Amino acid sequence: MVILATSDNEQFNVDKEVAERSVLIKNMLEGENPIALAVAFVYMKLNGSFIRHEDVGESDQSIPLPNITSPVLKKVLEYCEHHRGEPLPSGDTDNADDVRKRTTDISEWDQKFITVDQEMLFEIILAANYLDIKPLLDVGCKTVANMIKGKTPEEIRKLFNIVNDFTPEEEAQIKKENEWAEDR
Amino acid sequence: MVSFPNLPVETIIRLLSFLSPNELAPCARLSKQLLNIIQTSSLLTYILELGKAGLKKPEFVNYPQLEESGINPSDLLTTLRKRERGLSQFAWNEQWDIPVEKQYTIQDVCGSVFVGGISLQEDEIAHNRFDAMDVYDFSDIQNPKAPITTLFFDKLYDNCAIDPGQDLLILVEKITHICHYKLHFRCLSTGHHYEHCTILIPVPDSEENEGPVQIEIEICGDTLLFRQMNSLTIVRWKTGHTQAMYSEFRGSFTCRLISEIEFLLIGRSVPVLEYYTLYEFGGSDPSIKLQNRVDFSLPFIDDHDSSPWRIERNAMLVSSEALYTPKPFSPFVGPSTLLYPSESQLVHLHCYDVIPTGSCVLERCRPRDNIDMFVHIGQLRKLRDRYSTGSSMQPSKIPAVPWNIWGTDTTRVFGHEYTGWGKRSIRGSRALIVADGYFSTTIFDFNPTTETSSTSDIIQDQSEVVTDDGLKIRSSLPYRKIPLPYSQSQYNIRPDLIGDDIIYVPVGVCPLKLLDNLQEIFLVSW
Repeated sequence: MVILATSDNEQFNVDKEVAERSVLIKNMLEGENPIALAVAFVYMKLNGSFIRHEDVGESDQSIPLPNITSPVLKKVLEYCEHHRGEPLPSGDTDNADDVRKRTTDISEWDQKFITVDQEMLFEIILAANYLDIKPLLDVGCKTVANMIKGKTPEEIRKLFNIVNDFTPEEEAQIKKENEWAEDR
Repeated sequence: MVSFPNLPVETIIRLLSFLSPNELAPCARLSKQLLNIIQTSSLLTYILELGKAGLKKPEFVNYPQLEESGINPSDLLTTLRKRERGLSQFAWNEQWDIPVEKQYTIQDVCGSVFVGGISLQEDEIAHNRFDAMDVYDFSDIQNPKAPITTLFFDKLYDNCAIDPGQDLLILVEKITHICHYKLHFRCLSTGHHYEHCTILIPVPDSEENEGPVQIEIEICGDTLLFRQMNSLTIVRWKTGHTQAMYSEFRGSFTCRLISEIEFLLIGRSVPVLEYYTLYEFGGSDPSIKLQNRVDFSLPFIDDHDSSPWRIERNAMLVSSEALYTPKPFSPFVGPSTLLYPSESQLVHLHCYDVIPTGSCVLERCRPRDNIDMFVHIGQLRKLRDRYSTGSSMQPSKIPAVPWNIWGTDTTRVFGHEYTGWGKRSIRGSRALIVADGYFSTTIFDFNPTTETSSTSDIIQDQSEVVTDDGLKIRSSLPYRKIPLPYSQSQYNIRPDLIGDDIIYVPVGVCPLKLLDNLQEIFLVSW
């Protein structure tokens, strides 16, 4: 079992196999992969919680995930639980391409899983990015991409609360540059 | 509250990369931030370029593998080059527009790394306009059957812990027998500052059989990127090793031998660091290069003021690679890289294209001499004299450098004493571009010559220069206004990049705000 501690100080006991869907955690647990160490090292420094690699390992110490709140982690773990046992995408280039080769199709379960409010969706993306769970990150990204599809800029702005900080002239200029996209 | 715009940049790029060109295009119109992200991502730019060209996005969301797409390498280079937006826009001078095909056959980049989507041979000025980092490893092409390993920025991104303002992690995925990784960084429009840089180098599998592998990492580029950086870590890793092998070099930007793999960091220094190593390369033959290597490793000195290296640290170095005529198969062909070890301490920034391509100066400046020349200000003046005689350069190519502005021997040009240099003094300036926020508006030529302008254009006896956006600059000099050759939107500078001390901007585009703190700007029109 692995103990994961969220930013709001909730602890999650998770099967090692499930937790290791996260490449970050997997690497931390393995502790022998210097890349992982360095990544962890960098992340720890980013988070201000510097942990030497001796401290990281399969021990009863919990792994702090200071970027993630418990509702989000819960959701992420739900995903990991469902996909446990599936082969992890390796760092191999071909495989990585394979994953990305697919269009924005999302499997049924994932689709259902990711049907959450926008705030949660972005939280999940952030968490997947942080925890390095590529498939989940892609599910999130694809979902957002699907939301963007077929919308006008104005609609997208409204959808995501994006402030248009272009002057009308600038916007006209960019619009002109992207004229080719209009006649689809 | 997490929202779309404040996702990490790499996530936004990932997300947008799922879109087709037609779907991506509207995203560029959402906000300046998104436009900037799209423009600075080579992957997204590539997708847009495909759309513009009326092509469909390939199945895989990545760059085309050369073999799959049947693109021949020189086409790729051309494409890559085209992708570097801004290049043609800023090509004020034909000289910059070096055709890539002419410079490079694919063999030329064998064993080396193709950086920034632009040939290494091109001028540093060209590099200065790029803010993404592309690392292309063409080393495997020596074996024509082998697939070309291509490390693209976006791919690197996947392996990078990049957090603007924080750390930079570069993972070198694969190395071949002899690699020269040349990483050019530029943060002009991304505004990334890194406090820490980690480079991960794998131990090649072939090491046991083929002996030590020599890896050279050359980090050059914009000091703005590194001005916050205070440590560099190089991690050497071997898959399957039980013990982590990593060493951290804190407070030092030099590179030690971590193992039998030799790392070379060339002429890169950071303001907060006291220590750098300059390696000098000679010629195209790597073995010769090693013989000629000169170690400029400087001792760490706590006391800045008493440091005998003060001048040296602040001096302008020209990397010696610039002194060599590029030769095929040379991993060291390079641009005339100008390195400013301590940019933040500079009040004056003088940019000289010291080595114009093909100039006979190449023969006249031996590497050693040249470095010495640039280390000592007094000797810089010698160089000036050499230039001002015009004997070694074609007069037409001599930039109108205001040589007379060099101080006397006692004036510390690069130091902190600027006696006699008034704020916003613009004397001697050849051209000053005043920009307001995103767009530059006016160029003033404060050193008009009769060759460049008719006398009627030159405004005399005017104490105040008023730019189009209302900035007033006092000047007792005659000047003339130069209309911008391009529309305003083509001079895109992000205001948040404006530093305290100096900013090195392409083609002399200088953000307005900068002028408050800047003593002088010397910009050379080419």
